[in-house]
Amino acid sequence: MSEVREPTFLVLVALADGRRHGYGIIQDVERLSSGKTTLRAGTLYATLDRLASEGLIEGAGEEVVEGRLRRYYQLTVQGSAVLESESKQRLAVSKEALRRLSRPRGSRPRIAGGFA
Amino acid sequence: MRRERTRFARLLWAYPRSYRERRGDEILGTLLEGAPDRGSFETARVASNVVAHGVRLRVGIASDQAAGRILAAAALPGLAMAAAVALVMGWFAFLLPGIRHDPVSFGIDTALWPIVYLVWVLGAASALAFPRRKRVCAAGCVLASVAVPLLLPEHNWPRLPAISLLIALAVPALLAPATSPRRSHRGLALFVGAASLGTLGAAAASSAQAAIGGPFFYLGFGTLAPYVAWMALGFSAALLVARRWIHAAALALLAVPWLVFAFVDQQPFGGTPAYYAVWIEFVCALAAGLLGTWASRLTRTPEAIY
Repeated sequence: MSEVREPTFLVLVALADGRRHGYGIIQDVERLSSGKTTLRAGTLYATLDRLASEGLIEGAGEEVVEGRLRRYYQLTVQGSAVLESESKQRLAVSKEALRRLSRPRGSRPRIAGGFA
Repeated sequence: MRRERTRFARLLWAYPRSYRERRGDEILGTLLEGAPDRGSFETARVASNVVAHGVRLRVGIASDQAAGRILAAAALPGLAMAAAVALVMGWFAFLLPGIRHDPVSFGIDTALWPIVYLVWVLGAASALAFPRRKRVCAAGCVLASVAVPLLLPEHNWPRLPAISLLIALAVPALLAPATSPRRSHRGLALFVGAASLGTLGAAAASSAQAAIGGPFFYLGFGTLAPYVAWMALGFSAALLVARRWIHAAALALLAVPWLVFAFVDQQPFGGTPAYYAVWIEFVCALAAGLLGTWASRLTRTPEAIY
């Protein structure tokens, strides 16, 4: 399993509560990232291909809606485990960041030296 | 909606046929579903994203592998350099009246270049068109590029087969990442990539070319070598360094001193001043910068296409 980068992480999160189809993932990723990450179709399907090849997601049926094919995806057991592990790691880093920021300013370490 | 469906379906031609058959309807559905929410600018970005990923899948550049990144970096300058050399030599052969009618200096030698270049273009095009047979296409391209100058009657440029070989290697260098996801293929792929980079080095070391009689030093072409070398270096820098569009513009501006130098230099190419050739340099530097920026954006996408 290679490094889980932000868009990949967001795709995994989008699938965490059940199956979704391509456009559903795009919308959810945009919502999750507050509009900061926009997955476009080419990137999305490259991501899905890779995640499927790594065994983190799998197909979960398909249907035709208004003449358009929707193929659904869901996390595999391994995908859930990777997402859980990655989420815990990110949470720990975030907690540490908040803990450090919440210290009084005077007690924060200062950068040695300075500009003349 | 029907018009949009046709337009989006056309974009999917960028993908290999096997992939299109497997995924085409699904991607088309996703594109159509998002269409009402997109403005024209975003639609253009989506279109370029789809085409870029389709082409990338055909070429097979895997961004998550070091070998893939190295080879992609090696291949593009190689291809750009080959295109630049072919452009210059084509221009030599067909546009300069003095040279065109001088069969002694630029007879069969110059006539070979378009043939070699044509083989190279056909090899690359057929490899893109038939991704499943890209190794065959690459091998055919190399063989043909080397065989053509060898089979033709004796000519006065004995180093031509070597140059043809080096330039032809740019094609498998481009395609090598596609054939190298497996560990067993990486050695060959890296060798091909290194050969491609070697081509660049040979072109760049123009002063050494003159001293040792390297493959790029030949009569009038010797005076051209610094410009070709600069082009090659510019391409390399552009392709390897450019990360933003502004970098591409900066790289194009870097060509300006050389434009001035060419005007002052007045070195003749068969009686024609150098500055005639240098506009190509400017255009190519800009094109390479833009290509580099585009390529760097692709390799920075988080997902590898396997």
